[in-house]
Amino acid sequence: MTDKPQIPVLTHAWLPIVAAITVAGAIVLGPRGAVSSLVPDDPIETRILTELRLPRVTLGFLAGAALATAGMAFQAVFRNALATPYTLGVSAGASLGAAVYAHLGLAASLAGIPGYALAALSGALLAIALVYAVAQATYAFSSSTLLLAGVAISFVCTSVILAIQYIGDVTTSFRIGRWLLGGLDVVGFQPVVHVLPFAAIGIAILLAVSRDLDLLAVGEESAASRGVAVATVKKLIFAAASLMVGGVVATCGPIGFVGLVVPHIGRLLVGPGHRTLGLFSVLAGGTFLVACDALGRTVVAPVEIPVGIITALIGGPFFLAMLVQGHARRRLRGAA
Amino acid sequence: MSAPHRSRVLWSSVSALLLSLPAAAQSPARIVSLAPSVTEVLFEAGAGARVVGVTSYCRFPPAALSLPKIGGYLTPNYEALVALQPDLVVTLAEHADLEPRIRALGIPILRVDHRSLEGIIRSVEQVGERCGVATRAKRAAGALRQTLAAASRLISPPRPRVLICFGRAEDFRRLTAAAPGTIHDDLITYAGGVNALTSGSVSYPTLSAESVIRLDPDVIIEFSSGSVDAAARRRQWRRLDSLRAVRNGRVHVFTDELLNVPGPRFVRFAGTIARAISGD
Repeated sequence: MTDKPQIPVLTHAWLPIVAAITVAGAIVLGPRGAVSSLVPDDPIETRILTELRLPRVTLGFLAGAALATAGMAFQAVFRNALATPYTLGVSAGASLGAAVYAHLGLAASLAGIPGYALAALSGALLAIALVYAVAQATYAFSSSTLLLAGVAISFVCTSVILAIQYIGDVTTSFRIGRWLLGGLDVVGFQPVVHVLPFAAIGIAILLAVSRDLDLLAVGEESAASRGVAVATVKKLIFAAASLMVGGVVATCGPIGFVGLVVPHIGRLLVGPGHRTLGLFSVLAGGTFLVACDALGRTVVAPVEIPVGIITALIGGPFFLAMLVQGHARRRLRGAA
Repeated sequence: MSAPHRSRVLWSSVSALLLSLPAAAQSPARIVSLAPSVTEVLFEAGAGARVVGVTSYCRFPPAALSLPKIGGYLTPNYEALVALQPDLVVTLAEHADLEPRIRALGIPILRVDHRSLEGIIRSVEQVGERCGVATRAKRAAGALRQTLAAASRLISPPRPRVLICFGRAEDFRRLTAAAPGTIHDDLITYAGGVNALTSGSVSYPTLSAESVIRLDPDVIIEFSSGSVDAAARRRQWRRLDSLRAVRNGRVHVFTDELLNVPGPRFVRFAGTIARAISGD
């Protein structure tokens, strides 16, 4: 394979093809059997397709792409394979916002944005601001301080959520529990419109700094010696990724695993260069989440399995298999 | 789509149109229930024949078992919901965050409150009024109120102090009790007892064996769902024989499935609790 001349664009041409087929499949796959939604003369099916399934698949793709790209950026900046989009406390802060909202017994909306999403976004922004303030107060916005502050704030938020669930009545607990499951089951395109600016701007910034990510992933000192304004770039990446994740989590809830595992699969498949890896994360992250959600809403239809359960259930074993296979391949190559 | 299916769709839309003509939007013909207790209330109120969809947890009345399912109680499948073309969805307080989505689909909502016994009874009336079966629903609600009144009369003062608990492990760890303000506290009160717990700051606090012994209630009522042996659960309480309820044989264990559903059957259960407390 390495003997053939390679055209970079064509090497990974399979990826957009797989993505397009998967997304198309997710759109036509209905709980009442495949392609039921393609019957053109059935007004109900048309309604389901345009008001429910298309927005849901679009939101799923946006959310998956955003989470995977944010995960990739955090893993590079922190040079930590375990970093996820939620490592810096964004998801815990958002969850706390939603929990407080449920505890207060509120049910409101502002300019078409549901109240729990606004509460979750406020929680996420608060967590981001706290982590930023702590990191800023320490020497040169150090990565380890960022990480530790994020983890600590996550723990604090999580225990407050547990406390609220404990003291609250059954209704509150159910509302919080439902929110923590996460989900893409939206009605209409409005939620997509809410998430779009966060995801688009965040992804654009993270793709634009791919060269800096390459250098940061090697080490901050060597990146600085190659002309990267480390502190500034780190702040930019931190802000772009965190705000993007906050926007996604506010609408979709904390959907796990996509942001952790998709970048790693990308490193195994397309290599560690962030220009290609970034595009891979966008495409594969979106496709993976859309596929998981399609499974979740069809396997035991009409009962839906929340997508967060599916992502880990399918993604975990798949990732483990890839790790083992990648290791075996490297050993073979080493022996040859 | 097959021809018979299409004609059925046509017929159902025609009949839906005909049904909707006389009473306009007042009387829904295709109702979807979003919770097991709501399903029970719909049938109790006399609107059962118009229920076209229920959750996968709705097992009572038996007629609900054969109805189309719209998914879980907190995770309804909106595609299945739209496909049923409901003209009314009946929800509970815990559906507050889902309601905007149902409304966005253009489906009217009736929210009822099943967090108290009176709320359950009132919901029978609310459903009746909304569905044009107010007379029958009022009668059903009246019967439920009479059941509660009769239960309250069973016990003469002083009212015994009752601890109502569930979800404990065999060694009495993770014992959860119901505090004042909960629907289970309602059950104790209507059944003629007073809650042994006096503070309602935590609705369902976890109690240690030590705090149960300190409370020393006159009567202990334990709800235990699933396939558990009530007699065996009751025997376990002998380990705490310093409790006056244990010494006097006033520990009662109930395993009925209906105890998980705050519907009309739950209201009627106040009679059973009253008989247990009064030692009948």
